[in-house]
Amino acid sequence: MTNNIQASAANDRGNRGGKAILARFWKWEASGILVALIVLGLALSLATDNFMSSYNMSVVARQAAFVGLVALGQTLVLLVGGIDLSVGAAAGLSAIVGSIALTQWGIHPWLIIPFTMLFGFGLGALNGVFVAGLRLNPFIVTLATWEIFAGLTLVITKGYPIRPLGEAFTVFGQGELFGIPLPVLIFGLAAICLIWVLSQTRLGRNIFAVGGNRDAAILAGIRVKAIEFLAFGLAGMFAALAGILFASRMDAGQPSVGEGWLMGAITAAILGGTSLRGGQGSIVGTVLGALLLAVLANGTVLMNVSGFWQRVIVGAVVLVAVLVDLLRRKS
Amino acid sequence: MTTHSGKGAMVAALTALCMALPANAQSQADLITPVEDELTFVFIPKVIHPWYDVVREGGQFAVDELAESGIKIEMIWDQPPTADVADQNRRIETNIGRQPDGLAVACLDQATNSQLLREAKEAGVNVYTFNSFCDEEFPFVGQRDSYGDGYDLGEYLAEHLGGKGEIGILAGSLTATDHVERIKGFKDALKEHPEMKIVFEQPDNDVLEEAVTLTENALQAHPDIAGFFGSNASNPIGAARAVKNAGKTGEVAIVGMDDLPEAVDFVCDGTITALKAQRQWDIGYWAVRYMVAMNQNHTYPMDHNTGSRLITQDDCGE
Repeated sequence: MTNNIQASAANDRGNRGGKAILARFWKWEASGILVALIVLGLALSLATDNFMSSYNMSVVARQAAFVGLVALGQTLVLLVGGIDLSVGAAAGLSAIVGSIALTQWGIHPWLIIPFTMLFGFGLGALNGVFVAGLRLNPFIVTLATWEIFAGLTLVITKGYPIRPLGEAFTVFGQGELFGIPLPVLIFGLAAICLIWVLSQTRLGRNIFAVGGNRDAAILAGIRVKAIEFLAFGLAGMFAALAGILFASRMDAGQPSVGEGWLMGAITAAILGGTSLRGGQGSIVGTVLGALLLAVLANGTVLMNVSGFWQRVIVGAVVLVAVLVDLLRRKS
Repeated sequence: MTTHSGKGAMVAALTALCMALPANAQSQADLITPVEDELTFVFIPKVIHPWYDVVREGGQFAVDELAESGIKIEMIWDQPPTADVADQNRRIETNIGRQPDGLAVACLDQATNSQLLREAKEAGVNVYTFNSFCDEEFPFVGQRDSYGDGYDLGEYLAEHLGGKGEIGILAGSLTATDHVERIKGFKDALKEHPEMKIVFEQPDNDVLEEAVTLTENALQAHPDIAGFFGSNASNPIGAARAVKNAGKTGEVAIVGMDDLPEAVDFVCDGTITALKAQRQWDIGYWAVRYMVAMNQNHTYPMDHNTGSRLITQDDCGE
């Protein structure tokens, strides 16, 4: 009898523990996206022959890495309550300048990536000056700089790619380490750095504080303008990193690099639970968001979904994810 | 005698060996690999566009024809919704992972597409390029002489306008080599006519609505404009809609590429002066045929020029 009572109490504790874990998981802003990613992955591995092949997995990871890098920067800007529409064009312009630096200015191939990241930071900082310094609307400022960056890319290249970039440089985009494509490793490393910064440093706490309540952050003595400036600068830097890695991958500085990355970057961040109003979000969520988009894009091709329907499906998934997020917040 | 007979036997044996050699060597027919399983061919065009529907029709005709001889083919069209280089490259990468028996790509961007097509070849995929030339290392079926098309249309327009007048160019996509080459050819043709002046040149990115807007702007900015050149299949239609809406049919000449139904209607009502039409049905037909040939270890051409023909109002009665 006593044994039965003890067993029942243990079961109750177990159930409560399980429920608590579930509740905590459900509270986590990226819970929905993780579930969606697992379900989608399982469905595709059952429905297609090639989805789980090592080649396809590396393709998916690499595709997620480029948009994901841009999305990391976008997440920082969204966290401080801004938005950067120029990231795709910044990636393109940076990739072109980096390619020119490599092929025409004679900069060493190993220095091209840091050089391009610095250039990208400069582009982002330009947005930061207007948004943080002059308090202009980030949507309008970055819409304008998007056009400027994209236009400059065409002015410089006249539409022609800059190539070849040479094996000493293409290794960064085409190479692998332990079977994992280097861009994927760089993406992972960047994500880990940002997770650490946001969760373990004062800078990270200040980023959330500025986006959560700008006025309160000013009153708390946080250097709000400096934080906003830095967020835009880093967004430009991550975009540039994605752009130059893509150029390395393709052995060409291509004027159209980054054209389609803006929507992907914003979508990945939002899917991962980052709020458009600032102050809420996570890097893990953004990484999962980028992965979900890449899996979705890959899956629609493998399932022979018509190009007409692919955009409808991606849009619908985003809508469902936002609705799930709303339900989660309400509960 | 013995020696003679030995020599004779040796000669006879050598003769027999020589005669037998061709029979024992591999017959050339043995070089051909029979196709027993269903083949999967993936076509990746530059963008979803009615022009490719005709390519697809030609491909489907070849598929049906081959089915009668026992060769089954699944033809998949993976079409980017917009002419986005990154999107097209993502599709190429994904389809390499599918390991199709043939991958046919219309290159949107020579440089980056070539890199991925090289990777496809390394992964053992039979690669064919169509419509838009990519690189000498990949077999190609389509109209290779885009420069010639542009040049011919330039000459035709110059002749039509009497060798003078202001001209506008709808430049299509700045990264598509066929568009770029056509414009180059067109400009070179106009160089022979010093009284013809290019006053407007803008990319429409192969989007019809953009071509309409650009033409409207050009008509406003240059009221004396005498003619337009469209570098792809969409923009002559865009130019024609704008010119017709402005009530300038017949006053402003338009030359451009391809024979989409609406473009041909505009030729027949006099809005479009001339079109250079590619034979895209043939492109689809031969792409399928050649990819089958690759799977059978047949030889195939590295460059099959399907050419193009001029369409004017004279052809409307046909």
